[in-house]
Amino acid sequence: MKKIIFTLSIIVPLFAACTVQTPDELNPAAGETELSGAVSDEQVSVMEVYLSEELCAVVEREMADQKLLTRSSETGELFSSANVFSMERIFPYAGEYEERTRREGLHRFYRVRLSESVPATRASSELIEIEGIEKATPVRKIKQNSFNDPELKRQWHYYNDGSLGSSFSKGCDVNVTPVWESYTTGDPKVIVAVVDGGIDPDHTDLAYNYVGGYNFVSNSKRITGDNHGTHVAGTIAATNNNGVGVCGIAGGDYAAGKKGVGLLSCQVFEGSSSAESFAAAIKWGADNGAVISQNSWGFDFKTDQEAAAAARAGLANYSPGLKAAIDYFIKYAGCDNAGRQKADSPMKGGVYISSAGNDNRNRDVIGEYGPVIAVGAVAPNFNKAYYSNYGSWVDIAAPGGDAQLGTTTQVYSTKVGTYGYFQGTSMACPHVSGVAALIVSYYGGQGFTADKLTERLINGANVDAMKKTNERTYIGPLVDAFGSMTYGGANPPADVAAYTVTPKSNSLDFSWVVTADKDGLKAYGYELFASEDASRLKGLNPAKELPEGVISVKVFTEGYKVGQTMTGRITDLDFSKTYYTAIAGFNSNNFYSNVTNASGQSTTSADPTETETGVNHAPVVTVKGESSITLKAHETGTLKFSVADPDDHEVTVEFDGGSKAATCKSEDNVNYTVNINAPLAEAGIYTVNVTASDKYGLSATGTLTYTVLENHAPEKSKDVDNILMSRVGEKATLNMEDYIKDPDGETLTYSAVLSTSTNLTLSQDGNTIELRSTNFGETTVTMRGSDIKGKYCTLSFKVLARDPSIPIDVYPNPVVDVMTVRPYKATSSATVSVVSATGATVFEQTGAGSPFDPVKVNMGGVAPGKYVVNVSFDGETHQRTIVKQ
Amino acid sequence: MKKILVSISLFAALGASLSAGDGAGSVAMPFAEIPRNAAALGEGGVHLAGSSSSLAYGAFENIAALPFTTSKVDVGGGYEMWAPKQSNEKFINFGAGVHFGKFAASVAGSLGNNEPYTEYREGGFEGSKFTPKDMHIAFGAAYGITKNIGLGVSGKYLSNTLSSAAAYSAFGVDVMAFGSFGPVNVGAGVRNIGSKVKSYSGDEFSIPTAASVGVAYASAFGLGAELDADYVFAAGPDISAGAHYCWNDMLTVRAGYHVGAVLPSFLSLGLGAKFFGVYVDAAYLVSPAVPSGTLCISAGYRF
Repeated sequence: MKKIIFTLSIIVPLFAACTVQTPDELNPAAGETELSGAVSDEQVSVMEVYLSEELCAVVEREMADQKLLTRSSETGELFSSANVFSMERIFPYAGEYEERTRREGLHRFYRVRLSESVPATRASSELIEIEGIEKATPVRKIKQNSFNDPELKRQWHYYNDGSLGSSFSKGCDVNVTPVWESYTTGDPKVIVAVVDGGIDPDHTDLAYNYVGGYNFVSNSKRITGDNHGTHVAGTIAATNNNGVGVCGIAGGDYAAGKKGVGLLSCQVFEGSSSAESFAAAIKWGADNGAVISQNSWGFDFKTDQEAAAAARAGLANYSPGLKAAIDYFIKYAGCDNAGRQKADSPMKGGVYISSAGNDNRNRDVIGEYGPVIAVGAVAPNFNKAYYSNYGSWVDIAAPGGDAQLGTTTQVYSTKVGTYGYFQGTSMACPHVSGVAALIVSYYGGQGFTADKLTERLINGANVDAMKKTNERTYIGPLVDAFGSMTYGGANPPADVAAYTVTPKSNSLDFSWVVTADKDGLKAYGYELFASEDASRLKGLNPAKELPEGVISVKVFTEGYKVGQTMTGRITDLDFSKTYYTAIAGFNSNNFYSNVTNASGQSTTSADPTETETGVNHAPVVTVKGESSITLKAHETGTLKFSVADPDDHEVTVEFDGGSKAATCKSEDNVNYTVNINAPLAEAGIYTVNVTASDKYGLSATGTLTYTVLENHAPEKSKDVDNILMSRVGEKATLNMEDYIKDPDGETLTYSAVLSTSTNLTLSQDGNTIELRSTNFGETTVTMRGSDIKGKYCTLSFKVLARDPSIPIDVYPNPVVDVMTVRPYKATSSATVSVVSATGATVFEQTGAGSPFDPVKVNMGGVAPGKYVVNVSFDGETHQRTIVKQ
Repeated sequence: MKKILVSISLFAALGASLSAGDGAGSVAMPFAEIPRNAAALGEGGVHLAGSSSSLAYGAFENIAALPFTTSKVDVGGGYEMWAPKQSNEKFINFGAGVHFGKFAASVAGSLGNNEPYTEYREGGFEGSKFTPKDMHIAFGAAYGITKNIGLGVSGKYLSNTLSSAAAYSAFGVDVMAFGSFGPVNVGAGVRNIGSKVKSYSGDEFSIPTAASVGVAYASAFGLGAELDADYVFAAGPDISAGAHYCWNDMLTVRAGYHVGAVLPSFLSLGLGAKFFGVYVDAAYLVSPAVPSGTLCISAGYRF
């Protein structure tokens, strides 16, 4: 719906001077009414009227009864001749100051909207004809002089009255000035992540709202200003009203001491370089407080075919990392790790706003990704900018400039150390980001979601302004800041026809059907009421401060559709007490339906519904499955229990695991799992005690037990034979699990070491070792199997690699003490004699010997010298010369 | 003087206990007991009573007997292949002696070269090869204090290189006496009084220090015989007995037998020839034990 709203002012002095005289001046004599002020013949569709007290009372009554301007109503009949379709107070309900507002007669000023634009004189005369309308004037155009920024006059994209030239069409702007004047100029709690070239942090017009950044090109905190990024940032939040330079859509009000939204620079361009990961920059914005991601960049496609192919593949296939980052931003911006809205965050979730592209194409892989808000560019004459991409995937249009129409038709904003013009969807995009920031600044808070922001942004945009342009090449409706702010209108939802209220201990459960308003929009939410005193709910006006003794809970209709059943609950009431209940719906602008009882009757005339709360019941601890478990010393196991409160009260659970082996966790605070890691406990029987308590003092206990059995050390399961290798390079493989086992059935950890690595290498793969000889010689291999408690068993065996052509080994040589004589084969009778150099026998012995059990000769008592060792076995005699040192 | 050597065997009991190896391994540098003189070796290794004493090798044998030899000068050398089936050690022997009046002196030496052996580390890891070497140098002097009795002293140096890291050396002294009484000679003394050798394990071992006594008889028909008894303090007794027949002071046949702790038992056979002062002697050992096959050749010139 197109809204053509001329700049209006609610600044009372200005308004009074232009259109309103004091009540006395208005009524110099009773019953006389007159037009005040000159009226031009411009086309108008919004008029301001001043009502008589009588008519005002009728209007208020019918508004409360949801009958305002309906056919059967008195106002409907009265105003039909003037084609009035809606009306609202110019000075909204003032809460605690309503009394003096009414005393001054301000409650009698109404804004009426006409169903068609008509000449102002005709509108005035038609309205004046209505009995009860004492004054009727068009909304006066007020020169935009609310900010003192000298270059605001170049910024047609904020306010375009057509006066800058023939290329400029009146109304082709973002309609932001009414928002500045009536709603907000931006709130520093809102942070916009500018993923672009660096924002000039020292710029006179940006430093006030600059909150920091990170350089993803140099991977440092040093931000280097870039004209493109600085220009984009200026559109979003250049400082307003500081007597310098330009304005920004959400730039605050410097003169009033109000900061605008925060600018977070996620620098991804630096000179001719760009960041390796744009996705990281996007995610970083979410992790650093931003709820709006502003992105005036895209992939560089050389041809339309290339762009189309990428779009067909989809962002998930073309750039999965980028998609993941966008999804992350949308899901987690403003939220904690679990996805819950942070207490200080203005919005749950984020919006990702992207320029559509400057190739005059109808495909773009990023813009076509559903969750992305794609922004097309419009010239100052409502036409699509010649360069702008287009297509049904473009969500919204904004001023981007068109140099073909002249330099000044481009967008004017900050540059590094200066100001200047740029054009492009890059310039259009930050207009949408700035408007989004304004919406969040005003409506943001607990419960405000990114979906709500998007709904306002898109549905509040100006469709009519782009109707002709979009017939040819679609770039979406024109962003409209004021339209988005007032989206939802003044019509409250319909009354709740009926609800049920069911006591559950000290809570009351409400159930009702979601209603809609006259515009077809569903209720934004419902407020549930309870009070011990019925009179406090009679005639209750929820828009005002609730009286003492009235308890209320608001629930929002997110995810529900009109006609669906919705539930809500009032908790923390007193037990076993009589309460009176009622319900009312409200729209996004906090316009309430009537407060009704369970039968749908307004509590203005009918009584609220009586009900009684119940008693408190203790929580219930239920063991699920077995209540005890026996574990071997190396095992783990689980026990389960659940905790429930029959009254749905919040329950705290205390857990005593009996030992450090038992831990308890729950995913949903209902079902609990006790994990028992037996290795952490000594053998014994342990008791788990669980106590569940509600906050009213009732509790329940549960008991589980677990037994940890004694641990037994690993044992040898069979002997391991010594290994005789007959060549270098020969291999042998053993599975250590075959030799050492755990009597408890535990899977052991195996290892093996060598006594020396001189002649053997060892490699281990799992429980298997491979031995490979690298030299002749003997090595002892020691295997070890360990259990989880540190107990172990070792087994040793020898690996002998020897040259089979050598019948005996005598070593060491020279010998100092013990000499080993090793035959090449086992023999039961080997005679070893040691003869001196002169021939005297110094040692002789006969006995068994083998390669792994050689003969040992103690040469300690033999004088140094040369000796000959003679070895005879199985009919063979072998001789070796040795030296005794 | 002809000397007839009658072999004497004292063996049986001594041989059983020796084969068990007691004692023999306790003597360092036993190569000092190997006769270097082929004539002495041919007669079972007798060396005390002058039966086959040589002026050239007197420093190795009974130095006190030298003043009673008939030669004035003796220079000789020899080659000895000891225990070829076991030790297979080869010696180059040399000696020189002079006798004038009542005084005599001798210097002798023996250089032994063994077969190389292969070094092995613990576990049987083969290393490099090494060739052990022995050396025995002696110098002695004697004086005939009477026309029948002589006294003499020899000093000796023994060394043993066993590996690249182990080399041993020792010093010893022989104090000897000799008596010549007609056809009977008697020799006695204490040999190899000297330093000890310390092994790597710290144990100390004596060189073959021994108390020795010997008696020889020479007949007028060229027959001669000698009987020596040594008691090596660290090892046990050594008995040597030998005999020879010399024809016309030109050809000599010899035989002998030895049994002992340091040198094992052997039967020796020897031949000698002398002509115009030049002499050649050879000895060959026949033994069931290690020294079997030993061959020693000595040659020289004496006048």
